[in-house]
Amino acid sequence: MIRGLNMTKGLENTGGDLAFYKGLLQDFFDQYSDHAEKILQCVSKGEFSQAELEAHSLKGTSQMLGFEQVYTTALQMELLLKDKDEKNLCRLIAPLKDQLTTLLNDFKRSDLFIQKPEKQLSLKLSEEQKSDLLTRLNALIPVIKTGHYQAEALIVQLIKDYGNFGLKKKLSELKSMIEQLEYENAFDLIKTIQKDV
Amino acid sequence: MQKKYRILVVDDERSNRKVLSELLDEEFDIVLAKNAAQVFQRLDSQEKIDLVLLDIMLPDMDGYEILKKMKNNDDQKEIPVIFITVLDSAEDEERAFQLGAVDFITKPFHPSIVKLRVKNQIKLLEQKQMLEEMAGIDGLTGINNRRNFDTIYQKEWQKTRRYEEPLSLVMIDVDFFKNFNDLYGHGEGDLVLKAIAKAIEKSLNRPEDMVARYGGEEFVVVLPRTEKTGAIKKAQELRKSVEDLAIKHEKSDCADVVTISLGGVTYQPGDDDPQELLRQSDEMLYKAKSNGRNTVTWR
Repeated sequence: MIRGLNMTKGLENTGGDLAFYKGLLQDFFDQYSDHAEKILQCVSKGEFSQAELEAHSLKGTSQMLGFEQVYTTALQMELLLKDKDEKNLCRLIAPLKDQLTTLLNDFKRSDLFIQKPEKQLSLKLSEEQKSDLLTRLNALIPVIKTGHYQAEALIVQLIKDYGNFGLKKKLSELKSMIEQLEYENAFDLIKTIQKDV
Repeated sequence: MQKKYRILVVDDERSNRKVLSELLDEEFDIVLAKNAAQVFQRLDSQEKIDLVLLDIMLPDMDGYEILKKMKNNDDQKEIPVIFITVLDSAEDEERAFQLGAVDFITKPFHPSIVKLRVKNQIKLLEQKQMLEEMAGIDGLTGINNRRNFDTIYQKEWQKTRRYEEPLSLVMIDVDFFKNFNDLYGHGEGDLVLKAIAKAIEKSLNRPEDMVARYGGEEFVVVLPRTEKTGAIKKAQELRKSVEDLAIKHEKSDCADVVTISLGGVTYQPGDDDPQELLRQSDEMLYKAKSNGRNTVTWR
């Protein structure tokens, strides 16, 4: 059981596919676990608009995924940030931290948590595989450049095919950049991977 | 194969982009953006966007501003925009519709409802395209389409036969257009076709003269009550008007800029088949191309 999660609502909001939903929960914790600190940092630098945007994002995503308590806290934070009410906002930082930590701990203990394999194989690429990998990385560039969602499926397939050749970490980084639409970083990383190969 | 419409999903939040993409990916071609800069990159790119799903709160510019900018751009103003946002006040919704949004969906959304609302907009888009086709307008260039040409040409042909008036016909083809598309992309190619259509239209001064897009990069001009000498002169003017656009074309073998070849015929007593006149005009166009292009050839 994950305290503070309305899974029925979350599943309904995201299309009803459990495997897909699990992936979204994983993404949420990757992205938002330290969000309370992030908001606090923005506020301490006087960046209220940025802090408001961060609270707004947290509010939207937590509502969609069914994290009801986090949603309520993020909503309050957004309203306080609109008024630049730093004092009352700071009172919400600790509860938000607690809520996120509880959620994360519960999540890790639940069967929704996707265990990442600890050991990675490090097989050697044949010449044919090298050529295939280089071609597919080249083909990926225009797909990324034009913002096509298809890029995400292509990188997932590349990880499946070449993750066990000592490339898992870099390809996973690339996947994350593609998902975050960080194109310039993705292109640099593709070049690095191609060089390594 | 049925056309796959391209939808631009704009949201700074990855989970939202992911949920919407998964929802629509099977039926549509999904393109993503997380901020205004990326939105305009996508809209300016060669791949035509058919519909935009737009979040309002974005880091560099809000959705309202993006929509305003789109409405001020001739190439983007017709693209339907659906707002998807957590802002749920009546004021926000009203503002969105006033700015020209076609729909307003609040988060958290119900996936199947979003899908249906997107499909509704796509259906409207298809109907609009069908109406344009029926109205005789070419969707890209805004001039007459082939269907309209067929009707008008038939009428002019009948008048010509009845009153024994001259009638001239000019077939036009853009020189090395495939090379142009290969080098500069189809988006730029479309812009060239628009510019050429406009230039030709501007050069035709009489209301009865008409230009139509005949297909691909081919145009056809009908010049009622125009003798051969006058028609050739007009065709030369058309050729020059396109050359004067001075659109750079590095892959043309006949000039440094985009040019057209023209083949024409003038009705002569004894001609009794409008399709034959059209065929001969096409033959003259072929000759113009064989003669080095950027030229006019007449029967």
